[in-house]
Amino acid sequence: MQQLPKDKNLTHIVCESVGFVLLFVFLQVFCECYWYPVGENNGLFLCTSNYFFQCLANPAGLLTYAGAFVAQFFVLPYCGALLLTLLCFIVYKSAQALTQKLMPTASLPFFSLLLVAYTILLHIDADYHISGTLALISCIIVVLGYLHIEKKILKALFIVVLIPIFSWLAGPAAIVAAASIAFIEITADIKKGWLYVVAIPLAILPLWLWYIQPNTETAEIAFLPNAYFYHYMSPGTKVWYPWKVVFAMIVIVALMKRIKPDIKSNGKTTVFIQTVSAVTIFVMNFTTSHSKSTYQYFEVEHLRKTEQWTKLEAVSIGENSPSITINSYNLAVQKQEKLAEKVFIAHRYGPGSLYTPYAGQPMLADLLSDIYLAHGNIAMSQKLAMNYMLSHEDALDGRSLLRLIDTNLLLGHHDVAEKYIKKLEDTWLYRDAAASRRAFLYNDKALAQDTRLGELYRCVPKDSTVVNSVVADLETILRTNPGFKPAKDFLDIYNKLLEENNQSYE
Amino acid sequence: MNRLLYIFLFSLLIASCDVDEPKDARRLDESPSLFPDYTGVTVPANLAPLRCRLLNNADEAIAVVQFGEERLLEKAKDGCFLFDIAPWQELMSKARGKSVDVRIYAKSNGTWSLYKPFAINVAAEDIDPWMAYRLITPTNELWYEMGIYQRDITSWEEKAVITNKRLDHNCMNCHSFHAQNTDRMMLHMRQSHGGTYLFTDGEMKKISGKMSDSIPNLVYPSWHPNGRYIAFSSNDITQMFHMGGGNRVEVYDKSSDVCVYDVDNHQALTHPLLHSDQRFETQPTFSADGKTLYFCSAQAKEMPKDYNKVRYSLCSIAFDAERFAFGETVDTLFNAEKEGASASFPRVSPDGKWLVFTHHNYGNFPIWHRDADLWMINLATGEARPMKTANSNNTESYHSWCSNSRWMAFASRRNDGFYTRAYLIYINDKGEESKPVMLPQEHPDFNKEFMCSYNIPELIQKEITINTRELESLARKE
Repeated sequence: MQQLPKDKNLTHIVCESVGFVLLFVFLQVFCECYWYPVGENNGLFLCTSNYFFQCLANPAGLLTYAGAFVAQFFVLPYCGALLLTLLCFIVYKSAQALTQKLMPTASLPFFSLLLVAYTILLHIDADYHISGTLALISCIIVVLGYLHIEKKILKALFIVVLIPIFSWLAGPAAIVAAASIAFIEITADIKKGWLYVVAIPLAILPLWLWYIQPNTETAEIAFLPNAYFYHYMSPGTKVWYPWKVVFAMIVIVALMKRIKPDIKSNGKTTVFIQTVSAVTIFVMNFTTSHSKSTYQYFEVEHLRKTEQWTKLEAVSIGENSPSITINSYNLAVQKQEKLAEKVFIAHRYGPGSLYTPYAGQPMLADLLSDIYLAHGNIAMSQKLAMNYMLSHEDALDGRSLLRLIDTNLLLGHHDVAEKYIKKLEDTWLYRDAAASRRAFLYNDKALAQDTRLGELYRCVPKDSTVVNSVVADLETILRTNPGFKPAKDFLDIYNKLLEENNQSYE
Repeated sequence: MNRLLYIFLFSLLIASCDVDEPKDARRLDESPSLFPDYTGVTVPANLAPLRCRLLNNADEAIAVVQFGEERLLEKAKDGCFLFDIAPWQELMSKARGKSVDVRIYAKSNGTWSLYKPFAINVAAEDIDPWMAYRLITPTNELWYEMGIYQRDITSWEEKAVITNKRLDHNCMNCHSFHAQNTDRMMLHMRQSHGGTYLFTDGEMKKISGKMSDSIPNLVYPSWHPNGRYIAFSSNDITQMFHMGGGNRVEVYDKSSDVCVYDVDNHQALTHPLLHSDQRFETQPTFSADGKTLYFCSAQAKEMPKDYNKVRYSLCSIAFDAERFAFGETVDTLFNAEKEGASASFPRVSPDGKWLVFTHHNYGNFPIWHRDADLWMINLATGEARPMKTANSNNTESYHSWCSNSRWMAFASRRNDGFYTRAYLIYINDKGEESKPVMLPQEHPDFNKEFMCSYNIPELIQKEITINTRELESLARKE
């Protein structure tokens, strides 16, 4: 790598430090609400050897493991922004190192900044896995590592041994790395460079061997960047962008080196233009994906899941708020024991203002699970929490598991609650919360006396009453626990909203 | 010289690893607490070893399994006795038809104690070596991943037959075999790529769409002994949830009828006695000789209002395979109204002597009923009785016979009340059952920690060899 003079080096450090801080502030202030779902959607990280080996049994397993490890902290305040800033910084530095290795005389921050831009844009979609960014970083580092090898025998060994191993550990990123290496070699020596194309089938081979097993995913998951996206969803073309940029970066720089090896483009103006171009591309894409309504949805979800009821009340009320936001508002005011007083500020959806219609959508399942729990319908809350949990990778999610522990305890299914407690005790984030619930296992007396769960415990009917309608269920709850105010409030308001609806029809 | 040294060192290493039975152990009057509880169970000699965890506190533990002069010693690793397959099965083969003695030693505070020894009975008859089942998160409405798997129960090997990962996460279920033989089998897929998939002697066929207006779908299957016919019920299934009271989910039929499908001619046959608006007929199964079709039948009620008043009797009707025709009368083996209970999932032993069904308070879907138990009918006398040794205070539901009629696999929620596990039970020639054994796993904790249920455990004589690629492309053909 080219050595910079001391004062230039210092300027670089200062610029990068300022960039790091600015990026962190941007991700925290403008994007904070996007990070909680990242923590939920990357799988539940378990501190067990079994989990590690289970991950390793699939392509990209090592990165899945590492990604889940990093992602678990995204639910904590400030951690999401900080970790993503760190990942972006590593993406930037590794991409810079690669372009400088390929073309030491030219300064090309455009590609590195563009990769950072796409990393942020992809992670705003919580269905994109952290393993995708780790794959991007590892892909760049593998190519960079290869470029540092000079002896042909070592290069051959690298391709024959390391590329298939990398393919298994990192997944389809290895194909990009292999193609990049082949292209670099071809541009360096057109006659002999073709031999290095063998790296591509060597990268595909482990993935193909996995793919032909009966218990594996689709070809998209096996060979394409879709592997780093939530497998149940279709990621669209955006998931390709960083990979296209990496490959384009290598192709352009390698060609530039071949066509004009002594090119010098490290002037301030060139760097400025490149930076502005990359930032412009980011801003244009960010404003498209970061619409007001999308952000409001994420913000409401974030505040609900982190139980910031006062803030939730403030942000969820608005003329154009959709029914799920109004549901969240009513939940927030109910949590502050102001439902009866404030509900009619936001009742434009009739009874749907309390319970938005549900037809199996995971995002509604979680919200409705909270609402049903709030008014004592434990069975419905459990059913919906289970539905929500299923929508996650490996059908596991810490917050839902805590809900399932509570609801199973309340419904008397202690063996199942114990099973979930044990599962969460294998995590870092939820370990203490799970362990604290052990006191309620096979101990209904402790449940009944608990300030949080006691009232809910008294709402569970002892006979085999089946879930019927909102009104009938609330009446059942009130028959079982006549003093339970949330159920009474919900029932009174629901009836009023029904009546209002009927009158408007008349 | 070097070689001798290596042999000496290796022998030393082996000797240092060897364990022996503690000689001065204090005898306890209590039985060891094991998970799974394998005390007093009956096993087939060809089953994988009964690996288990000692739940009692101990710094060290040793299990001794003895038959005559031969002993198997296993030192607990992290509290688990992880017997190896070969020595276990060798010992069990020698003990075939008899029993082995098991002694569990535990060391606490430097003192060895011996728990009350117990026996493991080894049946004279082996079990079919494979088991097919569906693995699914026991959810109520939604699912993400599920698949049909097969396990070599003589070892730890489990293979996917087909999973929904490549089939748009659809639903797949009701794998069913002709006489425990994997050459002729079927399964259903629902939602995307919906249909019934038939596999007959290497050929694959998809049946989709309505059979007729009166038979809108094919649900619970049972193969005729001749392998040409499959009896199905056609059900309009719905579910709802309990708010309390112990049970979680209620699954009921709004309507149901029974038919027999001719695999060769793609033709379905029914009869007014099996297809009536006044009754719900479901879950058919053929007798061992194929001359009788058993099925469950209940007086139709207003659903879901009367969901807990519907009780299914166990009935039968004659079936003539030559003429592809039913008899004209229905007999009742188990009268639901008289017994005040409901019968479901009848299954006849291949020797034709016994019929096992699930007995529960009401309805026809006992999988979520804690009161569901296995009952047996002696087909020679018609006497019905609960299989007390098999049952627990939780759900026992789906069951299937081994080809030699001496073993049955069944699903039970007794482990934790939610996640179904597979159990094996021995039934002697008098129809008496032994204490069932939970399907052993490579690690004993697996059955505790695994977050999926074992659905429809079916014993099979050999491995399923469906070409999954071919099945995938057949499924995608509309």
